Amino acid sequence: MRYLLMFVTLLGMGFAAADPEADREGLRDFYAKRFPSTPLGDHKDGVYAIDADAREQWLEMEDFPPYEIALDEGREAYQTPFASGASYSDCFGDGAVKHRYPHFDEASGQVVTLEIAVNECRTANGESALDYSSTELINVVAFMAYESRDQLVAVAAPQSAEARAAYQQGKRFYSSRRGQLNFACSSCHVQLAGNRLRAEKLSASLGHVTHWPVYRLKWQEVGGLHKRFQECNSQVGAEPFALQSAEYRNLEYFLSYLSNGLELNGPATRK
Amino acid sequence: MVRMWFLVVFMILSNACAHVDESNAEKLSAQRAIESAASAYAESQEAGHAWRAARLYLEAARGALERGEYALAVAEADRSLQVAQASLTQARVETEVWEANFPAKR
Repeated sequence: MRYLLMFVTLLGMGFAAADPEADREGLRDFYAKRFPSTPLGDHKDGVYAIDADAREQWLEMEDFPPYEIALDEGREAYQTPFASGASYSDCFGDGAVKHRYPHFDEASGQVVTLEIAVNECRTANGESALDYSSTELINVVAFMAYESRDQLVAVAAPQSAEARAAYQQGKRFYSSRRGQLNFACSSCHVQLAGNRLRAEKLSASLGHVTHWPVYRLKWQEVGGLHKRFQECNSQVGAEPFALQSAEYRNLEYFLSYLSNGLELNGPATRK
Repeated sequence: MVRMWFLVVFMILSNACAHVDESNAEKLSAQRAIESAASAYAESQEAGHAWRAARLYLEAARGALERGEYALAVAEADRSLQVAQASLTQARVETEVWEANFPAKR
């Protein structure tokens, strides 16, 4: 009976329809036609791949990147031993592991992001877990992103039924209209990608995960991808979900799989 | 003369009671409107499609109830209910059409 219920639930989640590689190819084909003069790999730079003027300003900002302080503090935190004598390097080596996150953990039955893994490393070594909005956690992840630069996103394809269901939930979240403005993620980043929303050009979703965490001028601080998800949801009038909620972790899993093969170039600066 | 005073006191008391009854009815009506709106909002949260406006109107309704502004509380709660119902409609529609929003492989 338990297995029958599980089967029906997974069927309801669209397990039967989940084909991650077809999704990735479908999206790549779409952007290749939408932006014929932009090599697909260039989408790692987000909107700066398709907006020449904004790109120039961005490159100038990169001369003295505002995320440098976060990077230095993240490096120091990464290298400082815990009370147990172990440190982050006992969990993540030199820290260049971001290209493999998020991944689906079969044991816990959930998507594990880098932020979750950092906290798991801490608790396994007798430290308390950090708040997902804390500066220390963001800084450590920023340092790991920096160490992972130039690696290619290599998120493992979902194999088990549960992993496929998590992927499919991420896809469904991405494609469902929500909020009073009735916008899906795909409304802006697929259907309207390359068009302007007021003064801003809308980026492609390919490469959306490559450059986090980000120093966003609007935030005046470095923040993570889920904070941006929250902002997007709020902007369309929807109630945002919690940082590292199952909804956002599944969405990150889906988006990351779509960006497989793209270069990591975080942390970065955005308007 | 005593009868007249008795009549005056009686009239004042009955008027006051009528006012209290009316006020209680308005309060009850506001509480019920808020309960309906809160229930619809909770349902939209459960569906993963809650809208911020529904919560803001609901908070405004609760604030008006606390201040004793019952008519305003009912109006805000009704607004919240309408918005929450719209979000539930969105949740139902998206269950059927979301896949069309993602580019299929050709």
